[in-house]
Amino acid sequence: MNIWRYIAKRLLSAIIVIVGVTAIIFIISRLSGDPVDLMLGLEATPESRAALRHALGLDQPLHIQYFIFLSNALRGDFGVSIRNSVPAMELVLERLPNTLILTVVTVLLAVAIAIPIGIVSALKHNSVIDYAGMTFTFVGQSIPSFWLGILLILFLGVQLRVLPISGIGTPAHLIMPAITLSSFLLASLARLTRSSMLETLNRDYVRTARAKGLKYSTVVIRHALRTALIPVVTVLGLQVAALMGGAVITEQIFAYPGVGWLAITAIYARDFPVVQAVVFVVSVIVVLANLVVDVVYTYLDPRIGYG
Amino acid sequence: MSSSESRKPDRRSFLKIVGGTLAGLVVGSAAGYYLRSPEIREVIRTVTQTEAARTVTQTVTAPATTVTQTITAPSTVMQTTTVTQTATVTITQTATPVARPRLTVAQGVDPTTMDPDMQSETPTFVVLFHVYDSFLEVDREGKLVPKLATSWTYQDPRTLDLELRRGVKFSNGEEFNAEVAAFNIRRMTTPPLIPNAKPTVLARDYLTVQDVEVLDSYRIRIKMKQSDPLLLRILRNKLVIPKKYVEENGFDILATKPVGTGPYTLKEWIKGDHLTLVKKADYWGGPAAIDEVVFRPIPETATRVAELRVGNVDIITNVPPDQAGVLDAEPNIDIRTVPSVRVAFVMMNTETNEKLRDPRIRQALNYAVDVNSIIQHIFQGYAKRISTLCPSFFAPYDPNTRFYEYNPAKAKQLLADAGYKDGFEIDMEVARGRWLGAEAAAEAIAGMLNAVGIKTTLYTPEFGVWAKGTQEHKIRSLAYAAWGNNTFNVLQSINALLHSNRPFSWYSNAKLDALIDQAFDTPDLEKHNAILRQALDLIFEEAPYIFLYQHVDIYGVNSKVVWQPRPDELILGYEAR
Repeated sequence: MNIWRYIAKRLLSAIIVIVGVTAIIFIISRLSGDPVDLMLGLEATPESRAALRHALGLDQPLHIQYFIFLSNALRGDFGVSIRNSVPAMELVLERLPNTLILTVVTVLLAVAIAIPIGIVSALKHNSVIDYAGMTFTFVGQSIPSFWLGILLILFLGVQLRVLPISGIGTPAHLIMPAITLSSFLLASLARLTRSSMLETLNRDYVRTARAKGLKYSTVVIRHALRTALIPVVTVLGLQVAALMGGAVITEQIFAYPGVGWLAITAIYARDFPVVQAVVFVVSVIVVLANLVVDVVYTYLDPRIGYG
Repeated sequence: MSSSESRKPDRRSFLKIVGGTLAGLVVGSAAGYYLRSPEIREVIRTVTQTEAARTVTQTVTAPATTVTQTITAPSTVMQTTTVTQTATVTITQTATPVARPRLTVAQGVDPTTMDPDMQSETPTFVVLFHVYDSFLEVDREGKLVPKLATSWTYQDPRTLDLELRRGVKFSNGEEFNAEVAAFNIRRMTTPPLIPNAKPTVLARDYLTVQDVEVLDSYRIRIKMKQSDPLLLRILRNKLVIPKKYVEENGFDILATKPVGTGPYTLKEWIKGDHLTLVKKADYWGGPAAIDEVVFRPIPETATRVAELRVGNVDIITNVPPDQAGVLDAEPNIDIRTVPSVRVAFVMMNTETNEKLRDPRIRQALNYAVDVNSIIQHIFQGYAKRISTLCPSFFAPYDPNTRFYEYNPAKAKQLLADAGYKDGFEIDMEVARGRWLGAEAAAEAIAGMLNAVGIKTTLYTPEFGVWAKGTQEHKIRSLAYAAWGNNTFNVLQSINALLHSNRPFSWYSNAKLDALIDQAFDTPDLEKHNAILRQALDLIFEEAPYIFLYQHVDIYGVNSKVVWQPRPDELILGYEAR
């Protein structure tokens, strides 16, 4: 089986995963509350509840509602947001670019800092540099993101007034959210790179390469790093997926209009169409990210094949 | 294997493709991100042009620093805005004081929709009251005053006539008249009297309306199924939508493209980031002093406070009581407060818990709770004690004359009298994430009940889950809740909360029912209030709830802004300077 057939097969199973995820979300979200209760407030009479529920199609049996949802979704129609009275997918797609751009910047920032730290720490194993690097990443891993976010706002936004505090509009608006989001990712990537690199540097082929008289930097970058990056790529792929839907706290701190903030608002309001549209989009991205990771493996390590 | 290897693109070209695609995506999305809509480009252009125009005048008067800043201002929206503000300061200093060109308000959430009848959230109302006008208005004393309706008369308790304002136009030029007014009322009935119209969210408030008649071009008659003195109060929340515009484009267009008679029109709405309103020069009540009102949703309190401190926003809502003091001490920031229409209490479920049917036990619970201490320690004084369920300013009377003082000994005595010398066990709940200080207050109350021997177990369901339970008429024996009443008439609260057989009532008292029914049948204000007073006295004696306090809304305000908070939680740019 060649790589393209492998990808096709994976995409096929992805569809099953996505349908399954939406079904679960569909049922769970409807079990835990009712948007009509939340929209009409506590004092509304059963009469007005029934009228609105009927207008929204929420009075149908659950399985009928699901089939209506599924057949509409196949045609790309995810329904109209109950709270906002506009198409749910439109709300998600409006915010998706914001989330994508924040994710890309976060990942670039994390990778650009983490991998050099990891390599240097591995090369200078047990030196002061190594300890400093690992202390730095330890702190990064243990700081809660909401605390770091507010600290950044107070320091860079209020004290020094060098960065905008919240919202979107300029590249500067991305800096604090990206630092906040990348702190954990950066730390875990750096630690992973370090340990993976240490292991690789002790391999026979690295010693052979050096014995052949290759430059040390060539050995490290061309021979050792490529192997060492395999676990790093795995973690990165999973984290990118998590960032897409999981930046809820950071987005709220910086009032950054992304998908995570939209999702949490929709969940609290039981705005089912929006919840479903978000879950659909995020699960597509997660599935694709995983697929990309698996394919990238084959190029990082030619021994891995999908035959 | 080798055959499939050969069909595989080689490693280097694969990496090139991936790298290229990624780079393309980044560049493409970045470009799209900044130039997403023609509106943003328009804003950039206008702001930059305005700036250029200002620079000319400023070079004469402004200090050198300002000029430099103006010249180096980047062409992006946010930073240009900052510069605009700098420019304004300079102008204010050198010339006679002018109204601020822009007022920026940060609320916790974005408005949900621009269709005023399809929502019921305060932050959305706040925005919509700029774009639309209501039939009536309630002044700061809680009295009804004219707006699009200039006068109102009850022909009989079930017939209400409204005289409408003349010469009012919607922002699209459409005229406001009796046909439009009637169309608005017809949309609100259940089912709507407009063919193919969906039931609205706010229809819940108009259940007594039967029909509406156009008497002449500027008079309508509302006919009710039963007497409803609250309807006039409801009409202060009825924001008037245009008829022709909706008939031509459908109701759905209102969600994003509102057309109203209000003092402002919608300029742009970048969902989740900001919404900008511009003033209407020909508003019937005279143009607003402030040119632009910007609303920004900032969910995190610490962030809202930070934006206020650096001067990017002028008014923030929901300042936590524990930060009010610190903020007020800052030279450029005022803390401004107003008692709110929201009242907190602990409901007692007399339906499922037999013990709570004994008034002595209900009174004991009231004596057991140290309300003043909760106000002092949890709300830092930013809450106001009330006797029953009536906020202090509900016009035209304040029945908050006596309280159940904190007296644990008396509570224990009453429990013993009722046959529970050793107390009993009870469950209590409070919905999470809905009302200011609710979880902490409920915990304190549970502790105080424990202290007199009532072993209280506290549950904290998420609000949506709790609301669903209440719709199935399920609450635990005790439930902490807070009730907002925008009709400024306590009849709305006591009818919903304490009249037998109401969906949200777990209490029953024939005498109280009779008083509430009588109040509904008596539109005459003086008699109406006398009956309500009797009802509240009865409620105090019967103690169907643990009575607590009314909330106080806390705003952080740029001290240069002339604006006073309103009890109905509206922030109106029209009232600010």
